[in-house]
Amino acid sequence: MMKPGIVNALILSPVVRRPAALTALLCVLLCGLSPEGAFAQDAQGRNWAGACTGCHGSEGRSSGVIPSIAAMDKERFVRLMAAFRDGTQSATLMNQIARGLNDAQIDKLADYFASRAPVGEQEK
Amino acid sequence: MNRNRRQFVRALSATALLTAAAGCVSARPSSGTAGRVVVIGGGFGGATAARYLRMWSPDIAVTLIEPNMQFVSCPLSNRVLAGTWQLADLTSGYNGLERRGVRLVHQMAIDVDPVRQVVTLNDGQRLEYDRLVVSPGVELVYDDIPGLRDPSSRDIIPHAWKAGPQTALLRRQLEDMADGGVCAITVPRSPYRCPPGPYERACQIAHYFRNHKPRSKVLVLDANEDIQSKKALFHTAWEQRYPGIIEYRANNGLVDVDVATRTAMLDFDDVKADVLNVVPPQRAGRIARDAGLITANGKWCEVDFLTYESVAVPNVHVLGDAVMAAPRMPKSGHMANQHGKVCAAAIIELLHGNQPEQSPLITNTCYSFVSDRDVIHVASVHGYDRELRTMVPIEGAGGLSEAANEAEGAIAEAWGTNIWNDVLG
Repeated sequence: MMKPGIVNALILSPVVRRPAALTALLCVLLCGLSPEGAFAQDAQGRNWAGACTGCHGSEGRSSGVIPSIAAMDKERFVRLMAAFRDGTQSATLMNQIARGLNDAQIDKLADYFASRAPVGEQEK
Repeated sequence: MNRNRRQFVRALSATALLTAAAGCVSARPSSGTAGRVVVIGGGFGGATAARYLRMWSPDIAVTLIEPNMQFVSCPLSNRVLAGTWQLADLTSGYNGLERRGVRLVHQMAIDVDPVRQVVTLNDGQRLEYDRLVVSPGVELVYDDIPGLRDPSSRDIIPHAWKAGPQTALLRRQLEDMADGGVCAITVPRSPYRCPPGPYERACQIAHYFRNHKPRSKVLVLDANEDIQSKKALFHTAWEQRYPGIIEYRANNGLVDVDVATRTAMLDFDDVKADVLNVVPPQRAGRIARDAGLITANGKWCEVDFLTYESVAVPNVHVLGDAVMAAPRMPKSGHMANQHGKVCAAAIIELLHGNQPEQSPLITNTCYSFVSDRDVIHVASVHGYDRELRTMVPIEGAGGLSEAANEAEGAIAEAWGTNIWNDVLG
């Protein structure tokens, strides 16, 4: 375990005056894991979106007949995916893909693609 | 860089200094960056990893080692054999990656020193890395085909299994062949790159023959017991579209080749062809073997599917066809592109001292042209199984086309444009 003296030194250190940074430090010291859970959470939608962008284009910006999903309204994305999943919306293969995704994944994918610049706009 | 991220990087830098005294492991910044990544191989896996490392973490220095000046896509390259497309339709430069700050080095990697973490190139350059990504594709193995051990024999009996000059050579041979001739394609035992590829190739050549050399035949000599992907759809396509043109023979393993007479010597008989296309057995690309990354069957590289880090060599990641695949994970360009993104995300977290994503999600989509326009697909979704510690297909997801159709022909072309952009753009 860490010695109390070190903790005091950290609290007094100018670089850790902000509570968030202190939490970050303690987490690294105690667990050796990510101090910034929020960052990992943010990255998850982005990471999972990699499963979509091979077909729908980088960040969801597509050329040709495959629809672009960049900048798609979140509600619409979630509604469409639910419809692909339950078969009320037919497609060549999206039904087969959508059945592999759970609600949490669809929610994060929807957030991610809604935040992407649409086709024709400068990439973020 | 978003606010959380900026805050975190700042916090981590401070942590690195403070924890050094406490004996804790910390991320190690190098040369003013979060780390140096060297990527060997600019195909679907390596180029994707290089691109996404820079896109998602501009504080990482990325060098891509690729001997070829241009990328030529294997997916969709069977269309060149039908004359529908030219190689130029499948070819792109690497300038998109350079615009993203990837340093391109057009050399061959000849050695990896995993202790000093240095890659040596054939011009003598030595590149240090914090993390190495090896995406070498497959090496075509002629050890058990004595007649084709001499590389010049493959100018007569092409493989055309790496898109480029070999594809053009096979096309030329088909054009030069007289009507009434036989083109034989030999298929190695699975696993090999692109499971449906040989059967799509049979369709493409048969399509060309039907329109230009209608008395000619395509003979598929398969070392496997049956078609390895989209089986029913290919059988239907052959029966309905190419009756009397495509003949399929299962359990016909290739033993040797007589190059002069273009004869395939099989387990039970010999077949003389006018055009002979031998797709040889394969294993992970050579640098993977030299670097000690091959751990399965003397052929493939086992990895941790959360990071694609080699199980044998720390700080070295392996992508694409070279990987010892998880259950029902095909060796495909699409899958390599998926590996590239999961690996890039994991390396970014590791270089910043974070835990990588624990629930990766990947898909595979594979289109095969059965004519110049009509296409069949197979698709799958894969998630991480914590108990089995591997990627597994998600139950109830994935599937095939109901039948070959033109709508998916247009989709397959759009897929090509989009994935090439996702790899190189």
